[in-house]
Amino acid sequence: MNIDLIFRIAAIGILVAVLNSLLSKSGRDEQAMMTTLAGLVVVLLMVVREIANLFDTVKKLFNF
Amino acid sequence: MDLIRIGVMGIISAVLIVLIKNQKPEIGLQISLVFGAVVMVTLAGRIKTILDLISLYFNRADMSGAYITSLFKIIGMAYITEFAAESCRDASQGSIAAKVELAGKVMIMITAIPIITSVMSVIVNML
Repeated sequence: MNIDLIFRIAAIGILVAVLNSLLSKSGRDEQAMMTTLAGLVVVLLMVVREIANLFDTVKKLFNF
Repeated sequence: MDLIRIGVMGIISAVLIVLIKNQKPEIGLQISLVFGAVVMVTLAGRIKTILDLISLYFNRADMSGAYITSLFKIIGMAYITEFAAESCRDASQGSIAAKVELAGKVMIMITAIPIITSVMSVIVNML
C-alpha cells in the first residue's frame, strides 16, 4: 500500500502548476509550456510503471 | 484492516485530485489511475486465496482441469477490462471505454468457446 507514490505525484502536480503560473506571469510562456510537459512526462513514467506492475500481477495471478 | 487503509487512501486521493483538477486536469487523472492500480494490486492477493479455494474444490470433485484454467483466464480478462474501461470513463472518454469493454467481451467469448462446445455436445448426446 505505497501511498507515498500518490503524494509524490500530487506534489509534482502542484509544483508544475505553481511554476507554470509563475513563468506565465513573468512573460516566458514557452518555458511555462516546457515545465508542464516535463512534469507530465515524469508523472506518466511513474503511472506507467505502476500499471505495468498491476498487469504483471494479474498475468501471474490468473496464469494467462 | 486493509479496507480502512484503502478507504483512507481513496479519500486522500479524491481530495488531491480536486485540488489539482482545476489547474492541471491531466495530472489529476493520473492520480486516479495510480490509485486504481495500487488498489487492484493489493486486492490481487486476496483474490488469489479465493481462486485457490475454488481450484481446491474443483480438484476434490475431480472435475476436468481444462475448464478451471479458462475460467480463471476469463476472470482475469474481466478484471483488466473493468480497470481500463473505468479509467477511460473517469477521463470522460465514454466511447473509448465502450470500445475497450467490447474488446474485453470478444476476448472472453473466444476463451469460452471450448466450454460452450462441450456443453453443446453433452446436450446433443442427451437428446
